[in-house]
Amino acid sequence: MRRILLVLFVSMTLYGCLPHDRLLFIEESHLGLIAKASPDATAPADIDFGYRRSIVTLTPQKKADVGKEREVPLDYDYGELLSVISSFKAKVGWFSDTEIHTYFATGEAATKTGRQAEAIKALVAPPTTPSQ
Amino acid sequence: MMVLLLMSLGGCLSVQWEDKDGVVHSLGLLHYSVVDTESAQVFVHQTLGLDLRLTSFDGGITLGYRKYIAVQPCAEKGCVQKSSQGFFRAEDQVTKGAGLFLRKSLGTELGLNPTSNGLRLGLYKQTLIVGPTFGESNITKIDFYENAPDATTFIRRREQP
Repeated sequence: MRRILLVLFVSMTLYGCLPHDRLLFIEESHLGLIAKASPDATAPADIDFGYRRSIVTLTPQKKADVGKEREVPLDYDYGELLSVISSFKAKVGWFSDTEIHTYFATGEAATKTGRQAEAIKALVAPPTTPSQ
Repeated sequence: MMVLLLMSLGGCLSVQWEDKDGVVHSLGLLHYSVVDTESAQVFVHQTLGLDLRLTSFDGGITLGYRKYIAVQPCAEKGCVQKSSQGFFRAEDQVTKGAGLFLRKSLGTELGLNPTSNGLRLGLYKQTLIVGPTFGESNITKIDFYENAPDATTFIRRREQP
């Protein structure tokens, strides 16, 4: 029993070690009781009772892949984030069918798209396919 | 002891695990469906009772009803343009790469994966979109219809820097 509990606890706390090497968008809703262990040992556990909705976007960061064997450019930005233009439209009900339209441009494509208002409109334009 | 208690409370059981070849196997009281469109694969997995998932991407334990939907591009899933559905046993490739993932549950759930962790009682729904890595320059468009999965599209166009 102790071993099972230990495995569960370690798994929960490992959440904080997740390598966010990809762009992540998380939207979640909960009605009831929720309890989460914090990845930070100094922070208290998170317990909620009732309704809770959260939206989180995790943007990948430039990796410090410039090693010792290569010369680091003076303007190398270790903290640079991935450029993103995104749109998220969703109909997500508890008991109804879900419909999601999400569009995003990343990296150089986002930089190029961001320079033109028409390109942004084209990116986030709703689909021509009817939902029924 | 705990597993036996949960099994008796649930009355029905399903288990999910990964093998060394990168295939996720599901066995138990479940229903699945796979719909391949021109650009996407829609995988729907529903369970009732005790659902034990020993997988890295969607690991956890649920006691109640659970629905999991994965929408991924054909380029990564290798669509065969053939839809299928069934009960009790399902197989799918290990989830990796970009995609749209939906989780809905009613009951008690212990999430043990990087994007859905903690203990929950009640109703829960999550929409997870996994995008590209830092160096990728592309435009992605996902249109998903749960009531008409055939109309789902997942278009990804790479842009040269």
